[in-house]
Amino acid sequence: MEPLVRLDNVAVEFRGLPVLRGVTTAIASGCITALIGLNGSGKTTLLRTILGEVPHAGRISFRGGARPVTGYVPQRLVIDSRMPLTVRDVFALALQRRPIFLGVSPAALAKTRELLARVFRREVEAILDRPVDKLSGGELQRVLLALALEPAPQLLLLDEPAAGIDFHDQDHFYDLICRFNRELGIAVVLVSHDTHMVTRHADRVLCLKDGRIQCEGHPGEVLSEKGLAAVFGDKAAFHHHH
Amino acid sequence: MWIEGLRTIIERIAASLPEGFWLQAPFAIRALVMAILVAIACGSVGGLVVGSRMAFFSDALAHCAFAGVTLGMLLSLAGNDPERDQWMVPLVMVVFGIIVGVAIAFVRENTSLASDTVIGVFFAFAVGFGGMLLSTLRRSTFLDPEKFLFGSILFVTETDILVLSLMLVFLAGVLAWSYNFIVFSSFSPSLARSRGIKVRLLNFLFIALLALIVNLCLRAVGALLINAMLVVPAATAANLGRSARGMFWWTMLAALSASIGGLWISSTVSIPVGRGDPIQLGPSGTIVVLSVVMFFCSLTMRILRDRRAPAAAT
Repeated sequence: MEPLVRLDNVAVEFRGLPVLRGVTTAIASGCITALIGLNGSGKTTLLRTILGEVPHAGRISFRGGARPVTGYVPQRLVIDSRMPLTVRDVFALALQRRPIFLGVSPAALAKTRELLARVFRREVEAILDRPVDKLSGGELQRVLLALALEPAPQLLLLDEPAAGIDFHDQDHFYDLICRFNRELGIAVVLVSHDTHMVTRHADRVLCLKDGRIQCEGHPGEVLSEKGLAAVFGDKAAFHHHH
Repeated sequence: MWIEGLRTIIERIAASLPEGFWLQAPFAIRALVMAILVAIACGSVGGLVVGSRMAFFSDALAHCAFAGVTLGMLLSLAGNDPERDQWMVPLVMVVFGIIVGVAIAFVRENTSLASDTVIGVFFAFAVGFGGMLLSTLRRSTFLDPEKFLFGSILFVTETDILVLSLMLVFLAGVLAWSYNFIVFSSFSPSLARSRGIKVRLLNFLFIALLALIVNLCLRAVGALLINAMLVVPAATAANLGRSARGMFWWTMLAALSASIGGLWISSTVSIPVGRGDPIQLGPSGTIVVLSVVMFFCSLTMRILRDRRAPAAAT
């Protein structure tokens, strides 16, 4: 099957400094691709370039020509707003045209409940009126994942989705991603530092070093000691056990 | 025609009120209507200003009006038509305010300078430019410097009311379309962009809207106090509201209560001093002081609420 996204010789510069150099790869539907590499290797930039946020050289093409519907879960979202926003508010802002000061529409509320039920087991009603800046890391990531599921995405981009959340929540979060990937055939691209999680859940790994693809392939091959040493150098041991 | 109609209505209302009532004169009714309109305009965007951390930015826009009005006066002095000043000076102020606002956003976006540094530089330019040409303001029949700084709500005309009413209709339309997008962008710009929201465009639109509101409300409240009307009621609401909707309506309620209450206090209360006439309170100053008092009350309520229910607050 033709890949959903194809990158040909993609390069990005920030203020004259190269961040991505000649990245050529393809992303297939129904596959979980993990981007790994050291800090500053270009993982987040690559994700944001696919998202269409970063001006780039080279070519990014999509199956069928049009950009696929894309869900995005940002890295440890810094909530900068001083407005008291509840979970219900955030979904209403994204789902309804009615201005939020006129209240949440019944249709948006029903959709919110449905989306939250896909990522929370029971506590949907309890989470609805919680302020978003008071959610735990794991809860916030699940809320953002639920938000990314509407409109139904063909491509799901996650930037270190499990950073800063505890192990139990991480595991649950990755299980959810795998479930959506399997059930909906979504192409998933996620940035991760955690090779243990990548080995368990990813179908394919893309290793970046200094803005270039160092290696790519099945986690079993790429995340061998030799492969890790090529990407992480003397930090490989740390990442392998992290 | 509309202005005449409005004047007649105001005069009839004034005439129908009992002797000695604070709204018995047409100028007092005009002031009340203006105070309500200013409260609605500032209240409707106050939450967005506070939510997007733009308090310093809106303050800079208010001070830029100093340069705008000076420029307007300078241009109007080139001609010799006081009638023309009535629309020319506000128009130059609004356009100048929008240009400065957009320029601040542009410089901020395209340099690595800190946001408050960029705003501070434009702020300095505006005040410097206005100060340099202060003598043009002194020649003005349209606006004297004191009224510019502290407002002259008791001297507003039916035209001012009509212009602000039209602006409110425009504001309602823009907010109906963009309010959710602006709030979502302030929550997380990258998430907003990923959902196809034109964050940059909305940012410029909001800045232009803010410049329009600041410049059109300035006549009533003054350049030094307009920012208080934008920020303080919303800060009060942030203490009381528990959702985006709650914050909007608390802001509106705080702005309207402060405006109407402040105007009433300044119209009815005078402070006797030893010699001479009792001191009359300035209306816009009283409105702002009342607004700040409300803020501290709300802050106390919030602290008490958080202490009572630490689990809910954390």
